[in-house]
Amino acid sequence: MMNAKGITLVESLIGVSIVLISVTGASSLFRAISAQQRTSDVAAVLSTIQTNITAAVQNTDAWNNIVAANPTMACLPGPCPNFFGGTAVPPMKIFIYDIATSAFQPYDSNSATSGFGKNGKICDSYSAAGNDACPIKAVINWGAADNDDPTFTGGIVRVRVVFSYSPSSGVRLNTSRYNFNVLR
Amino acid sequence: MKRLNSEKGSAVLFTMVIASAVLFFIATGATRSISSSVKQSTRVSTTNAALTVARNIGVYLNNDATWGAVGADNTIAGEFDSRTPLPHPHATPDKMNCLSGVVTTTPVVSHDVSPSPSVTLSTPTCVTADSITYDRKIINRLNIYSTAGNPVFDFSTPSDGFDLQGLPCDSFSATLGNDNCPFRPNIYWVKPDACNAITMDEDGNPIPCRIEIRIDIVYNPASDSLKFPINLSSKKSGTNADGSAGASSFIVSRAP
Repeated sequence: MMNAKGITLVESLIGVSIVLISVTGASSLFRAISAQQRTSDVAAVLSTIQTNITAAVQNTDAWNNIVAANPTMACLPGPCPNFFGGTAVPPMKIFIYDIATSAFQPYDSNSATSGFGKNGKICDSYSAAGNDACPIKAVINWGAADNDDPTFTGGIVRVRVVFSYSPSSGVRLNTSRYNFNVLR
Repeated sequence: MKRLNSEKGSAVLFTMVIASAVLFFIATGATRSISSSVKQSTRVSTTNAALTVARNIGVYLNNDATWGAVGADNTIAGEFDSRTPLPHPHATPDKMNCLSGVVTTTPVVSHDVSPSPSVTLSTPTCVTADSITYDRKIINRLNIYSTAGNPVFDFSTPSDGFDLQGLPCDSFSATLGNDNCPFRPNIYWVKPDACNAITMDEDGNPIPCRIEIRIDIVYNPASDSLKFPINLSSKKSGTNADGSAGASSFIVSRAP
C-alpha cells in the first residue's frame, strides 16, 4: 500500500477499472461497428439487385422472355385485369443477366425459396425463418402504371419490387427504403 | 502526490490511459469509416431511386398516348400549336412549332432520284432563319400525364414530386424537405443538336427531327443524414443538350 516505488491499491483499482471500461466499451463498440458493416454490405447488395432488376425490365430481350414466362402477362398489350387495384397477381418470374455466365438467369419470385445471396447472385434456399446463405427476397408484381387506367389500356407497365431480408443470424434490416417501381 | 509521481507507478497508469485513448481513437475512426460506408450505400440507393424516377418519366414521355396529352397541354400552349412567344427568357416556341409542322407536311424535295435513306431534303426555313439562337435552348417546362390523360406531375404545383419508390407524391417541400417525397423533376424540352436538316427514310417519308427532353432531378429530404448531392450524369448517355455539366440530369429523345 505504501510502497513508494510501486503503485498504490487505489491506483491499481483505477487502472483495472480503466482497463475493464475500455474493454467493455471497445467490445460493444466493435459489435456496433460489425452490425453497421453488415448493414452497409446488405445495402450495397440491395442496390446492385435494384440495378439488375431494372435492367431486366428495360432490356427488350429480357422483357420478351419475361412476358413469355409469365402466363398473367398473356393479356398484354391489354386490356388486363386490374392487378394493383384489387385483383391479386402472382409474383413474376424474371430473367437477370449474369456477367459470369454471359446469360440470363431465371428468378421466380413466386417460389418461396427463390432469393438472392449476400453477393447479389440468385439462390434457391431463401427462408422467411432466416438463412444466411440466401437472405434476400424480392417479390415482383406487375400491373398498369396509372391508377386511372386500371384495366391497362394505356400501354405502360409498372413493375413493383418489394424486398425482405431474413438472415438466420445477425442484424435484421428494414428494406422498405429499397423497394421501387419501374415502368416500361 | 509523491507516490503518484513515482515513475514506476505512473508509468503503468499512464500506459493504461494511453492504451485506452489509442483504443478509443481507433474505435472512433472505425465507426466513422463504417458510417461513411453506410452513407455511401444510402447515397447509391438514393441515386438509383432518382434514376428510376427519371427513367419512369422518360417512359411517359416516350409513350404516344401520354405525349399526346403533353401536346394538348394548355399550360404550354404555343409550343406546338401557336407562335405566341412565352415569357421564358429562352422561349422560342415558333421554332419547335416549325419542326413539328415539317414532319406533318411534305417538305420541299430537291433531289432528282428516288428517295433513299441518304437523301437530304431542304432545311426548314425556320431553322435556317435562326440557326444560331435555335440550338441548345431550353424551350419550356413540361407536365407529364397518365395514359388516361390525367396529370401525374404538374410543374405549376410546387408540392408535386416523387418518392423513393419512384411513385408520384404531393408533399414535396422545397424549403423544409421531405424524406417521403424528396424528388422533384424539372422537365425541359430542347432542340437536339443534330436536327439541322430533314432526311427521308427508305419509303421516302420524312424522318422527323427528334426532340431531346432534359429531366433535372432535385433531391430535397428533410433529414440531415439523408442530405447529399446526387448525380445522374454518370448514369446517362451523351451530354446535356444545353451544354451544361449534367448534374442530376437525364436525357430522353423522341419525335415531336
